[in-house]
Amino acid sequence: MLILRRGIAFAACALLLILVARPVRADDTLVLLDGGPGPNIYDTLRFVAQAKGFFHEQHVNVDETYTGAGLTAAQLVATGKGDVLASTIEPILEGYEKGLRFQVFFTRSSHYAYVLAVLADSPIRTLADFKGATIGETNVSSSAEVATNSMLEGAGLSRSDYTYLPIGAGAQALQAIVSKRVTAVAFPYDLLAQYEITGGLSFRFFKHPILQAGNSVYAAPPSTVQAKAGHSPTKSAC
Amino acid sequence: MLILCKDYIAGSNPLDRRIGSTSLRDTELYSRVLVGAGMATQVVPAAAVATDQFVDYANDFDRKPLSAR
Repeated sequence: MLILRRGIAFAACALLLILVARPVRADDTLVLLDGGPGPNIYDTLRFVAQAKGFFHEQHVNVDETYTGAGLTAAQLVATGKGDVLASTIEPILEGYEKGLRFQVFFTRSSHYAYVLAVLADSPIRTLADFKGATIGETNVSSSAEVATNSMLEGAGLSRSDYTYLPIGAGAQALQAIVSKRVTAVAFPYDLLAQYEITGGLSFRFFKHPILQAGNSVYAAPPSTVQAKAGHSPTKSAC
Repeated sequence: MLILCKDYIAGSNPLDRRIGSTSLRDTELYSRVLVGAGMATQVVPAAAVATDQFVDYANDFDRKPLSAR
């Protein structure tokens, strides 16, 4: 646990060094717009940096707002209503051809966020068993479908062999899982870890064999990223 | 929660211990997967959407005082 806590503190320090790598005036406010519905595991670094006083020491107030949708957050930052986007990378990659321009400057997760999961007592044990399954997702056409479709295709299933059902997040999703309204879920891993703790559930996870790189990122418009280059806080920041 | 998610926190990738690092190869691979999945029509050059230019600097700090804090 001590090693984990140290690791998080180091990561929080690295995050600080990147976020405040810009000209800083007294009590400067950095507006972070998050595509998630609320705090998640990837916010840990920011919370630690905040609690340890790292931002305060650098005269930076970090103001984070959760928008509930990555694309919405990206559009708001792109139009100057925020400084930094916190999101998964999909809105950036999908929005590129529509003229949305961002540069990822910090990947805040070490693993790909989305997993496919069933309750531990489910008869589903292999990917082929998902034939006929109703798979819960947070919202319609969520990014979790990409990895799920890819995994199930690899197991010989076609898209008509299973269906998706949006079940939201939090208590609503928990209820859908417990009542077996869905036979599986394609969700961010950290949400399911939360349900294991708060809902006393136990899941069997199926992770994509190739998509493993972290996809939760901090990004900003290229002009902001370039403006930050060359402006650094003191190395005693942490 | 932290223990369950410890492998997901930045810096815990055994293949690249640099905190915050972004793999351009994986970014481009993911862009190709999104195109293959019909979520986008154009593969995005990774260098256009990601940069590692701050990562070495951000990882270059003295860990000893922080460990003691």
